[in-house]
Amino acid sequence: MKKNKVMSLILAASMTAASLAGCGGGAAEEPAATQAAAKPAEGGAAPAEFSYPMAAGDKLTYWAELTTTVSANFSNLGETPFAKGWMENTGADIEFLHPPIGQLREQFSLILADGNLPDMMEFNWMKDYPGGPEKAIKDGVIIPLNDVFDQYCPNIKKYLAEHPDIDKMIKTDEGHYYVFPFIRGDEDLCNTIGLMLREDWLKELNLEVPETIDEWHTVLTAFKEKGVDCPLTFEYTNNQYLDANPFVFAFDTFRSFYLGSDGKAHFGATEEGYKNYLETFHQWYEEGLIDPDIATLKNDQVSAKMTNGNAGAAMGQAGSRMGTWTSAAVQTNPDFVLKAAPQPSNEKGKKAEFGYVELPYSGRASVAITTSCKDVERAARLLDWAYGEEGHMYFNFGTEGVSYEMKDGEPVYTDEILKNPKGLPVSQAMSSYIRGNYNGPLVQDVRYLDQYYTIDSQKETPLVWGSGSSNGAAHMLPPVTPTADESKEFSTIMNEINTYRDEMTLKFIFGTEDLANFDQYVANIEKMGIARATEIQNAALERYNAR
Amino acid sequence: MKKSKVYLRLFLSYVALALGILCMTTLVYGYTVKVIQNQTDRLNENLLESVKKELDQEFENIQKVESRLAVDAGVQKLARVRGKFDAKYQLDLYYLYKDLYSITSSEALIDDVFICFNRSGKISSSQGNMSEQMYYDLYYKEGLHTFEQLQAYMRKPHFQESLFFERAAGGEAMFLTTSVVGSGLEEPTATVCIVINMERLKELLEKNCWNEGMDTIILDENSDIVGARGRTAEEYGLDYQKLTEGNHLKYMADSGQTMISVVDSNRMDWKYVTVTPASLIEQDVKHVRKIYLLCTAGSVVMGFAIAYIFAKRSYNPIRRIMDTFQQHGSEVMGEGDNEYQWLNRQVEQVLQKHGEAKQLLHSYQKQLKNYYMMKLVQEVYDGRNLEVYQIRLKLPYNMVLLLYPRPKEEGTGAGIPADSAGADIQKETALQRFVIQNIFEELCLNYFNLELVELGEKVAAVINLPDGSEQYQDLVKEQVEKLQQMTEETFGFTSIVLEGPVCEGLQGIHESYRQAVLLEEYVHLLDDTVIRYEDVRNIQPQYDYPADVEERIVNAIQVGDSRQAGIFMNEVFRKNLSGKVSVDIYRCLVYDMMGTLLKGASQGGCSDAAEYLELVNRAFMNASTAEVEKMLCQCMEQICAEILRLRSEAVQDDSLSREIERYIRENFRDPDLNIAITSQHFDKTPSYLSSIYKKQTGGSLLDFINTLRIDYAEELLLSGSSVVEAAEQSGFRDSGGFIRIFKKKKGITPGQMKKKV
Repeated sequence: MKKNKVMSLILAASMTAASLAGCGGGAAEEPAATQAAAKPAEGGAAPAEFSYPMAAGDKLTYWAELTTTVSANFSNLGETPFAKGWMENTGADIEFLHPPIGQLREQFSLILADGNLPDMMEFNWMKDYPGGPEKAIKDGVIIPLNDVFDQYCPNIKKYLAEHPDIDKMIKTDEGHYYVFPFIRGDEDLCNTIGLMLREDWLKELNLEVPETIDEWHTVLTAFKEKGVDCPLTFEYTNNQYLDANPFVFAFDTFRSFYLGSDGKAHFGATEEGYKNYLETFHQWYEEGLIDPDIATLKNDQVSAKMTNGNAGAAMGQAGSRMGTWTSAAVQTNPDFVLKAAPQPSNEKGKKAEFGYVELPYSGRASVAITTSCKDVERAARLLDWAYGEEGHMYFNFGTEGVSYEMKDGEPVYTDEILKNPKGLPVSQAMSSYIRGNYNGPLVQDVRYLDQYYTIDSQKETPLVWGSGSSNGAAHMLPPVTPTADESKEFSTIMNEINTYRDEMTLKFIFGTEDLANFDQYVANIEKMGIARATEIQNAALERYNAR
Repeated sequence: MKKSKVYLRLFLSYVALALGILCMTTLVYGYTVKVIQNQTDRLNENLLESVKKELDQEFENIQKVESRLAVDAGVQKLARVRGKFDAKYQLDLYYLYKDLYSITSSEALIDDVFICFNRSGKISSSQGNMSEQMYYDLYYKEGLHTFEQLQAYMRKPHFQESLFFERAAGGEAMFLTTSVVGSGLEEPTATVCIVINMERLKELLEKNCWNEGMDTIILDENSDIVGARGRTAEEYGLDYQKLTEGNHLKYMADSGQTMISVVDSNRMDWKYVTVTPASLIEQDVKHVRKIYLLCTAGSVVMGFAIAYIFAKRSYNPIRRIMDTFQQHGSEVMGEGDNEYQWLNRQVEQVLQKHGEAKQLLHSYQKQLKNYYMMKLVQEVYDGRNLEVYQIRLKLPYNMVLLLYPRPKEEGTGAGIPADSAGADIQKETALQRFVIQNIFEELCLNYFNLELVELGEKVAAVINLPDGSEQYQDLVKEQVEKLQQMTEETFGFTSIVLEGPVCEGLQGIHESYRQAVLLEEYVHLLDDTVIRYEDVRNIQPQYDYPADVEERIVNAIQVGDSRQAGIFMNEVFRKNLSGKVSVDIYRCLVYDMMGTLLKGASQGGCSDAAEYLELVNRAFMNASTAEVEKMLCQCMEQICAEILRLRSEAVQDDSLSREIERYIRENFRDPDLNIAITSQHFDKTPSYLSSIYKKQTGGSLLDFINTLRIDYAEELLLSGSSVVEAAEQSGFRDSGGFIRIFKKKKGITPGQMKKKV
């Protein structure tokens, strides 16, 4: 112990000496850096003079949830080759901070309460900050980025100028930019969730891929008769899937708010179509076509059931579900084939009116600079890099020669990613080298997805689930932002309504509540103030349209 | 002593010292080790306390959750369901799942919470609801336990029990189980099971370890172990039953000496244990030991080196001695000299010198003693410490005896060497003094403490007495008699002894001496050889020499009648010196008589009387009374003869002085009258006139004038004149002079005289 103490003293001394030396070096370089910073501020005419990497400076702190595909191999994002390369390329030194997995919001609240904020925070500032992004600025948590974009962020400025629709989405009604956003750079990237079922069984039963509710009933009944325990199974109560349920869309309605043909917001769960959906699902549940545990399912069970033949149809992502299940199941059952089913419509041959489409900007995993940040320029330049050409490639494909190679002018992932020598799944291998495979402050490149999907069925999904089968995009509400007051009122009303709706939905499906009571249910929701909530949504929508 | 022996001794003492140092060092080392161990123990104790606090808190929460679930109405309801859960239970199951999910995500230590419904074969967990089989397949397949084992375990009643279960994904999980008891007491209807995240638990344990070498573990009843290092109980050799709380056993395990601290959990049936290999502490201890060994070895070597060097430098005895001699300026050693011979010579020289010095010192001491004895006797004691000079007179009383041989008859006086023959005499008396000194010292030493010192012709003996009683004086007297007898008989001379009084203290010595000296007079006076103060002090203190007798003698001398004067003198001597007389009185009488003779001579005009008497004055101290008497008589006769001669010379010139007196009697009232005026009148010089007058009358001229004037002034004063008047009329020019002369003549001032009247 004593010895250790002495050693640490010596170390500390030598480190002090080293850091002193470092300070000397830093001081020498500083004028250059300040010059670079000062010039655009003076004239605003010469941002081109700036070049990466930046001069050495203070360490920046970056708070973000560590996604499971990273945490499987790394305890900190900073340990990944991706983050190391990012720092090297930009010249910034980043300390990554992560909340424990599954405790993102709790930790977020704690950090806010503490007041000692990291320099940058990756979060859904649009939806998950109470009162919305404008409130976050007013609360002095984050800074508005308009001036920052003007001064230090030529890349994102350029991108937004080229994509005015995106520009509209990432602003508040007051016109404030507040984050470096996660943007899906292609329509295909917005269609990642949909229905899938066992093609081998369809063939065996001589059935077509179902396109309507009736055909689905036929197929599921056939599966049931074949001896399958629960023909349809999916994580019904998974937040990710709640608003993506294709069977709801099949009845031309929505679980929550949607954009009507009149250009106004409507609440779907009180409409006739929703009743019809509940009727159908209750019937299916009674008939044993749906997993009896539907309310309490999670990925583990669904995966198990889908891979071991206890279930024949499910919904989920083409990557993490369809791909994973297929590669797991073919090892024991080579005939196993999952096929994407299109958004069911209410009429054979007719394109469905409603369907699930992700917005290019959902607010998720977008990075704001907090008021605690001392070197805003540094943080801004670090983040802006990803939106430039070089950074875009790096975030989506990593380092050329390591994680990708250029073939015929197109980036192609190397075997390091696709057939990882250490045996890592593609998703984990990608997460080591890139950020584009999961949400983050970047513009996602569709070319990533093309290569990420390795199975034919997967490659079909963007078309089958997207515009090929539905008109869904037309009914998605844009990322509207209610004012702080509205937001508070809205969430108060909707918390109650959502809880009630979800409970009643399950009761109707399980049959513990008679559908004859649907009118009563609607009346209750109206009593809870759905009209007011709709009004707020419409007001926000109007403001959005006016942006 | 042999050189090797010296080295051996040196070595031995050095070894003893070194052993002392070694012992001390070992003690300090031991103590340090103990301190480190204690510190480690305390550290471990604190660590365990904090582990216990933290984990007990966690498990308390977990148990609360478990208990809550076990008695939850929904759970109870679901537990009663036999067979499949139909649709009406699905919502309850959904809520239960939500509950379990939120529990799992809120407690870091909880991996999963599941409830096994035994009657329906379902498991509700935070991972969703599923059959037991599926749950087992998903999470615990391919582990150590079979599905049947899990099922059997779940069917058994439990209350807050723990069980380790191997996960399908690898690693262990700990199940904390509590049964939900239905209406009956038979088989539990459901079992609540909380799956502990072992990684997290290990992290917690690990977090508390202060060193990588140590381990913090949880030991349960079955001696199953949960530890930060993932070792088994057997590997540590720990037994749940044997470990008691707080004991810091030193245990022998495969990793050697191991320190173990134990704390019981308040919450669970397990113990928190820290296992610290002693080697861990030894690293610290080793460090300390290294330093101690180094220091000890260093001091041993250094000590030896220093001791050796010093020994080498110091132990060269002959060289050292020679150096010492040479430093004191001894002769340089000769070329062929042997060191021993040279040293021998030096030593002899030194010893000889030493002897001489000693003698010299002795004689100096003796002289010093004599000097201070003399001072003590002849002067008043000044309070100095005399013992330094070896004068030891400690008793409170002293008496001084003066001893000397009787001078030879032919010597004119004791102690005055007359001529060349005196040298022999002196030698003889010195010898005699020596004899007296030795004899007396020898005699007295038997009885008294005494000091002797020569004082010129005499020897002073200071006898130290305890008191002034007769008994001692008699003893002294006896010794004195013996002395006289011995000198008389053996050496043929008489020794004279003057015995002073007994006086107190050292101060008294001088007094006694002084008195003794005075006694010498009595030797002649009493014609004795031993004079004692005690005997003489009572001799008549007065002599009888009345004024009228003196007047008669003076008158007789004045007229030169030596026969008559001789008769009167003889009468006086006879009257006074017939009996015992003290020296003082005798002396006074002689002086008185001499004064009488002088007075007579002066009145008779004989100016040479003093010369005659000088002889007497010089002689009478050492002469007997008869001789002095005779001398005085001779003197008187000479004076008388002179006066007769002067008388016959002065008769014819008497007329002039009578003339002068007459003239003055007529003119003295004139203030201008003085000797100058008078001499002018007689046509003589003033000095001649004065001397003639003096010759013829025996008085002074000025005196004669003043006497006339003062007598006259007195008459005036007595007849009532004022002082000024009396002065003017009696021929005084100023009253100041008048008053002075008046006072001189009459003994009082004129003012006083007038007052008398």
